[in-house]
Amino acid sequence: MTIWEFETMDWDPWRDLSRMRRRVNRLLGELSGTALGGTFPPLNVSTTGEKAVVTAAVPGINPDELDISVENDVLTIRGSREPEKLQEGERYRRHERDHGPFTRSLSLPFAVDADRVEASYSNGLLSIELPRSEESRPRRIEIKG
Amino acid sequence: MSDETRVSKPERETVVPEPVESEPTYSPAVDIIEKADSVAILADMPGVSRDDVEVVLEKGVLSIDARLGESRTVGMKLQRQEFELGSFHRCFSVGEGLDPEGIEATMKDGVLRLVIPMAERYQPRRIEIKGK
Repeated sequence: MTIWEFETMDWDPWRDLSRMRRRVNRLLGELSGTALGGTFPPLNVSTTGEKAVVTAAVPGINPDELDISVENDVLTIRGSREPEKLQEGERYRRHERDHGPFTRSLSLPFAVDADRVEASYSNGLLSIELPRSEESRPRRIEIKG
Repeated sequence: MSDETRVSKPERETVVPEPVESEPTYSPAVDIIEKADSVAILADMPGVSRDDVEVVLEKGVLSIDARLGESRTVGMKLQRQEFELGSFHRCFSVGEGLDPEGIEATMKDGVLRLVIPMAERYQPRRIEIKGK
C-alpha cells in the first residue's frame, strides 16, 4: 500500500465509532431499500417567526437531480449521490463517503408558502428558505367593547 | 505491490502536545481509490470553497486543511442540528511508490479531489519481446 493515514496525533475513537455507525446504517438501509437509511444528508434547521432555513450537507451531487417538495408544513428532499465509477483494475483502498439514493422528510413548526420557497446549492451545501404561510401566522385579536 | 513500502513514522520527541484548534475541527470522510498509474483521494468538505482549502506536502506527509466561512443562519434560532460547520483537517503519509511532485488538486461542490501519480518506475509497462 502506497498511501496510508497519518495518525500519530489525531487518533479519535469517536470518529471510528461514527464511521462504524455509518456502515451499519448503510447495511440496514440496503436491506430496507433506502440505501442511506434516513441519515443522509444531515440537516440543520433554523427558524425565525417568519421563515425556516434548512441546510443539508450533500457534497458532490448534481443539484438538478434533487427533488425538493413542500406540502403544508412538510419538506421532502429526494436525491442520489453517485459513487465514483471505477474502471477495470481500479479499487477502493478506503471507502467512507456515503452514496446511494436518499430521502429526508421534515415536519416544520409551521405551514410554508410553497410558491415562495427558494433553494440554492453552493460548495456542497444545499440551502432551502421556506417562508411561513400567511394563514399560519399568529394574529392578534382586538378585544372590542 | 507488497514489497515496496514500509511504514516508518517520522522521528519525533518523546512527548508531542496534541493541538487543540481555536475552533471545532472535523475529519472529512474520504475515499481512496487505487488506479493503474495513480492514487486518487476524495474528501467530503461541505461548505468549503476552493479558496478556503490548503493542501500541503511536507516530509512525505500530505495534509489537508480547510476553513469555513460564517454560517448564513446567524441570528436565527437553531431548531435541529445534525451537522456542524467547522474546519477540516486530515493527513496522510505518501509512500515512496508515489510521485508527490505530480499531485493535482481540484475542488468541486464541496469535494476535494487529489490525484497522486505513481512514480514512473512503479508504473506498469509493457515489455516488448525481442526476436522474430
